[in-house]
Amino acid sequence: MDLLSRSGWGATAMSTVLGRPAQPYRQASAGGGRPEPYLVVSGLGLTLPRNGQMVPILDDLSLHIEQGEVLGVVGESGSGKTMTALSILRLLPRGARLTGSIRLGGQELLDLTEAEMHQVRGARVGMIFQEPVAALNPVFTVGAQLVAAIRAHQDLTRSDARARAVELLRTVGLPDPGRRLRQYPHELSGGMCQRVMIAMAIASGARLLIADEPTTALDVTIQDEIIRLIRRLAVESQIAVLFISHDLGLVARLCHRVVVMYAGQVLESGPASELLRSPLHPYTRALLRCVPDLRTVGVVRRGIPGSPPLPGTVPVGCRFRPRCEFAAELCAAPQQLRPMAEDHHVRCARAEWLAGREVEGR
Amino acid sequence: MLLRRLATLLPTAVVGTMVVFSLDQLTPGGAAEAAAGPNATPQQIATLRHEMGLDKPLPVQYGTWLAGLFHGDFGRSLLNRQDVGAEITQRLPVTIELTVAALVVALVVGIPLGILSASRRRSRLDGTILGVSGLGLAIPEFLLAMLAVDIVCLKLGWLPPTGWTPISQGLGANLQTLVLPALTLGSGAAAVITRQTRGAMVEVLDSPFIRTAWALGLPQRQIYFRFALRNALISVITVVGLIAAALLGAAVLIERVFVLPGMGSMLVDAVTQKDFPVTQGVTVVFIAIVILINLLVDISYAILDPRIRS
Amino acid sequence: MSGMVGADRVALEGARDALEAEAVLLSVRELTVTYGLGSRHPVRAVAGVSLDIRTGHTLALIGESGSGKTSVARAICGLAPVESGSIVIDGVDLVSEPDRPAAAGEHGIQIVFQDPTSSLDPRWPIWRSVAEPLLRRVSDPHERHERALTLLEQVGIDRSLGERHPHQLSGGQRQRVTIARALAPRPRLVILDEAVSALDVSVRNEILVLLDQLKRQEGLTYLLISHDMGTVAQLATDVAVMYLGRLVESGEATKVICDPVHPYTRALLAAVPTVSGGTVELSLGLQGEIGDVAHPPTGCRFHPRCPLAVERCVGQEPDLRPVRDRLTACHRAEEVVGG
Repeated sequence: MDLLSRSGWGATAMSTVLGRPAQPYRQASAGGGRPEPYLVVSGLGLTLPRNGQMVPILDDLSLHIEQGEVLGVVGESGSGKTMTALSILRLLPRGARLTGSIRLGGQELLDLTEAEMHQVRGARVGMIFQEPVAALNPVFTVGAQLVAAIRAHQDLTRSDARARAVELLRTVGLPDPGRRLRQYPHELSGGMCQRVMIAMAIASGARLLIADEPTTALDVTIQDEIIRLIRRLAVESQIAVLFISHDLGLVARLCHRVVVMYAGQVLESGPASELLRSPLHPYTRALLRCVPDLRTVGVVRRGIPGSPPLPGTVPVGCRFRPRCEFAAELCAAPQQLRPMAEDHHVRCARAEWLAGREVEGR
Repeated sequence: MLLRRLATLLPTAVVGTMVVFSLDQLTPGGAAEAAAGPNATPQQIATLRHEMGLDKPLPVQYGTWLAGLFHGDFGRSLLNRQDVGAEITQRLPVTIELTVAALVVALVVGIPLGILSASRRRSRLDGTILGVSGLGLAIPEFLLAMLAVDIVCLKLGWLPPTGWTPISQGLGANLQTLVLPALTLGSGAAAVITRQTRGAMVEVLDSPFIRTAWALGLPQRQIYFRFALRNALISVITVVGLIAAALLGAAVLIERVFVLPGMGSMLVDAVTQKDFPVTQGVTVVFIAIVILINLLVDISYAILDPRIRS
Repeated sequence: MSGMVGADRVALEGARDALEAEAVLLSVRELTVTYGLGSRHPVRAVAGVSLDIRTGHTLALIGESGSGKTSVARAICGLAPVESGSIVIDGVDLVSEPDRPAAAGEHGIQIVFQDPTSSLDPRWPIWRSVAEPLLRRVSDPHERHERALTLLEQVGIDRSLGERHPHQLSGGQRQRVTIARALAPRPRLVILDEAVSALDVSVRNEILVLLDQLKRQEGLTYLLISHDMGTVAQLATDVAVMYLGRLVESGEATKVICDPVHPYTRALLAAVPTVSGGTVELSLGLQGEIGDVAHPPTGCRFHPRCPLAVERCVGQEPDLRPVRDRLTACHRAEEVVGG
């Protein structure tokens, strides 16, 4: 072992892909007497008003997350992954219309009034965003904001809330928490601000954490620390995590299961290890091919020619068809999300054919 | 920072009074003519001019006045020989009270309306508020004042049309003479503040940190009035500094309409009668007030926005 | 990883051998970039960096926030204040030129920035943006227009799109336009300042393929500024790693990326999330924050976060010296390599 591994500086080898998923979800019809996962989204549809028209943004979106599990939602710009997160929190612009079902801890969120939903936010679902420094109020101290988050759903005195704030900052690994409370966001680095945001998101005991590209704006060494923190929180505090990212490598490192989104639909979903090693959908395969491998230096990897369809201009059949190297006649029909293995679903009519081809070797 | 601001007071005052003095001299007529009256002979006017020291070269006249200023002596009115300094001291509180009251009206009316408008963006309420504020901007304050006097004082008889009762003679009585002038003077400013607040709030409500506040489930009232407002106030305060200067100018006309014994009336008479010590004196005081107000604005930035303190 | 097939590779076949003994196109010596020099709080973003850019190579400058890599690129273009040091091309020191940006342009240096939207005039049709650098060199407006359209085709944008405005194009297309514009004055050295960082990975790779093609077609040399190891691994022939304004390691790309020596480089590579495994197995979990380039730590700037730091590292700044066929600035480099 080289010198660095002997240094013993918290050198935990982080396996590339987290082990087996936490208790795979079986359909109720399969006779499971198990409680449903903490978050179950079924057939979610979202339309937004744009330029006077209602434009469909999400179509037949389904996903589920157990407590203690990290679900990765992967997609490129315009895939609808951020809108999915905002739909769960119902933080949508005026005129938005949601159909389908979002069940959190057994409760149907789409049935709630706005006032009731606002009680759910923070208390049962927490969310962290992409640019952590911008996501904090610049004219209030970190302490003021954190205390406000704590007291929003719990009846604590100000001093009790401050004590809890210090405790929370310690939990998210921020050194010298007392001092941090008195500082302003612009005095902290991006990584520190993101830790503060995580603390605020879990302050009231939320059991679902939605993380929308939380590390995209951070340096890679800091990113590493933040995802370790998120994994630790998920496992130790049994929090369900919805982790949105465009970075497949990050998702491989952090997530138990993955959902791949494109043009407002789920194209593939399944356990991370399986999906990333043997992808079933051509888009997933193409996306994986784009991810650079550091071991092959000087070799430029191909991208995916063309660009995703804009909302409102999606083709009738498979939405990836214009860019797919395996497109055929049957792809012109609307595609359904079908189970291929126990927990692995794919929205592609040619999935079996493709899988068979893989086995034969290319 | 404070000292730097105060240090600008002196050069600004000098330049300001020089400009006023020059403008004064450029316009026809003179204090001597005014004092002598319409039937005076040219000789009488000339004698008067000599007595008033108006035949001396211009730079000398100005210089003498400026020298006096450094000794705290604002000079004497050319027309009634009264001490300008004393006169200002007597009239200043009236103008200050009026201007401050108008500012308070503008803030008390403008900020809540602005917040309301922003929270109900593009609704009919928003449209109404924008429309009313548009009127407030368009209608000159003195016109509004004259209308107010006509309707409220003369027709309805609710309030005295003219005159001023200082606070020393009772707050209630003072307020009676203050209410209409303050409301009419503040109407334009209220309209500006409404729009400014609305614009600033709209921008802040769309910002990432307010989205965080929503996502955390913070009480709605807190989001608007605590977390969003403090950010919006920063740009509103900027406007206050600009409005203060405009208010002083408009105060002049309002004092005329309501016949208030403030510096405004003093100034109007002095300008028409070319009584330059008075004009200069009032100018200096106005300049000082505006600089002070802007200093207060700078200080409030530092209080509101920690990024400025660093 | 099973994703690699012969048809997918756009490799630098054989060209690699030819690059070995190439001449130095641009040489940077002891460059110091200081912002706010003379004010109360000057910030030294780059503290004495030396590097050589060889003709036909792609030198990647990699680093995180505060590393100074962007300042080095800007200094070469004449867009950042140089306190001391030299930037020599064709025997001319660009630092001492009176109009540094013009001098850089005249010696064949061009730059492509990160955000195509803000570097293209939204009111101009794209052909006009591409033709802009030709205003001084080509007098005939028709010829300028024609050249612009040809350049657009060269970067993969059909000439029929020439009249479009930036907002009518996708992000990837806009970046192609800025690349075409950079190519207009026939440069020798193109600086890519995080040129693909703002793009989705599928689009990013398409642009990298284009850049690779253009390099061979036009005989270009690239200086690639990036914080993304993945981009660097694909395009670079040489890599220089920066931390808080200093170089910590530099050498051939294969060597530095596949076999890093400096503890920071190793930590950086270990932190890069990969799908199939990286080149450094162990993720160290570096502690602490990156530090403030305005008030850097004493001695080796990396010592507060370095797992190998000893007393010597606090007091004495290590020099960049040859260790195992690359340059590295670490007092304990031999031990890392030997272990």
